[in-house]
Amino acid sequence: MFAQVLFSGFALGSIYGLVALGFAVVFKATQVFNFAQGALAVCGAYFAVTAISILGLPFPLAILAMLAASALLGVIIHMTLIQPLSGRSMLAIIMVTIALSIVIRAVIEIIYGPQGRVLSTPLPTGVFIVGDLRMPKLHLTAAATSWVCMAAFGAFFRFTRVGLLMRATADRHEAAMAAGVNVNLMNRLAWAIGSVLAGIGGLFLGQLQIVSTELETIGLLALPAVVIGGLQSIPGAIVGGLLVGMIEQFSSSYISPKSTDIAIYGFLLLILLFRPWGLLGDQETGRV
Amino acid sequence: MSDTILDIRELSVGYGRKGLALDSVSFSIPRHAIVGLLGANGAGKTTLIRSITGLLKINGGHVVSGSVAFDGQPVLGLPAHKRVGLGLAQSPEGRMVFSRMTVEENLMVGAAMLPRSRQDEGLSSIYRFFPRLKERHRQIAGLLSGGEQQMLALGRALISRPKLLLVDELSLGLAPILVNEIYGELGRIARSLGTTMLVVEQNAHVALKYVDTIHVLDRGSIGYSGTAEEAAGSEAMKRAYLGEGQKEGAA
Repeated sequence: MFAQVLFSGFALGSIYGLVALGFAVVFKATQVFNFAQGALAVCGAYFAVTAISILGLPFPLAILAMLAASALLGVIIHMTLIQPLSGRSMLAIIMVTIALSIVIRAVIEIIYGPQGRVLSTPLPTGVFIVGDLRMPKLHLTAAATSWVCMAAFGAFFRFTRVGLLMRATADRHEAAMAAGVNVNLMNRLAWAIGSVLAGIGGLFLGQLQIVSTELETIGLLALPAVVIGGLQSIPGAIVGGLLVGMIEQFSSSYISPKSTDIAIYGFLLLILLFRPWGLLGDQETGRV
Repeated sequence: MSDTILDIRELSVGYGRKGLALDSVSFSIPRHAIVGLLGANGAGKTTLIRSITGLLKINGGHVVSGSVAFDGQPVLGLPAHKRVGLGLAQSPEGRMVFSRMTVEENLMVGAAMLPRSRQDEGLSSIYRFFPRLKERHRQIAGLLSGGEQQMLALGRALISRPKLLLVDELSLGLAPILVNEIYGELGRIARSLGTTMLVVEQNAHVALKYVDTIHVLDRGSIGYSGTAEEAAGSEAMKRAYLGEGQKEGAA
């Protein structure tokens, strides 16, 4: 059973890590603690439902449409809500993201109805069996895709010119402006990336369960994940996501399925008490 | 091409509802000159620099009236990055390096607007001017000494070969010997690249050694203008501004 739980924890944790990475990119760039990250994951799942089930697009095209819609959503949120409020207190902006998540939820339920939808994709659905270990192909695909995305974005930030300018913007806003960086464009891009990563996470979460606005709660596990990993740390978001996945699966299997939130937020509390800058965060700048 | 690179006309700037931080300031900078802008703390130097570079708004200020033309083009309506793109670079006060990035990455941010083929050339020219930066090119910028961070901020601004470089409070918090060394290097750079420079200094004694002409800001207005020689010889100027400048500089 241990290996089985470890596998599920890893697979789900990889998805959480992906959504958390999106959260961290936005937070690093614009200092916005985005409570709507879970809602953005839900949007991704519904974009996929729309493209695949309603519009009937071929799968690769549907995925491209879903990614484009997610990116556009991030850009629109930055343009209409975040940028006009730049310079305001963190609390004001947090309230805006909470309001946004509520509005998104309501709009989705108005358009698609309150009941969930099944997302049927051509992704492989069988199960690999190795000894006692059952590995659903969907979990494997989700984990593999998450890691490919995380590696790709890591390489993007590290090795490309735009990635360099985004890191400069996150490091020091005013210095980046002084050095000729189009800071607004970089921030907009960060929101697009954050929304796309949430959307991909939402796609897989919707595949593993059904697509409904309830996915928001799972998407919001990105929050404890980034705080555990370290708010200012990109690798921390991934590690935090994995840990949250592990804690969830282990507590669910060994204690009770109802105990997962207690375990996750209990662990979060311990981190806040004894290491408030997170596991991989920076002690000086990353205190929560 | 006119002989004036920067032309400021009757510029007035305020923050919020408070009074004017700059009150009808006018002066111009001839091409290839090194011009000093002096004044005590709170005289409006930083406000003037922000108006020129486009960082006024994010610091809560706004232009009330007047104009700033760079290379014949009005720039007050342009965002900061567009002004840098025109060739108006700055080395900001407090150095402001990207502290979590390496020395070379810092420089590459400044070089990002160059075509890729000219980036390596830009990098090696900065390393020629400041060999210390080459020695430390893989170090995290936040771990450099104050003098090295100042060189890095200057290098980041110079790498795109700007027409005008604004140098804001270079001497702040640095040992005098280092300040002289860096100003000396800046003078050599100005001559070899033909860069015009506007040097903002609280420490008037240092500035007078390296600039051609000076303008002194006093409570938001230009209180004195003249060549560095005239200023050094002028008793009135010394009494009114330099005494104060020296005290501030030594503090």
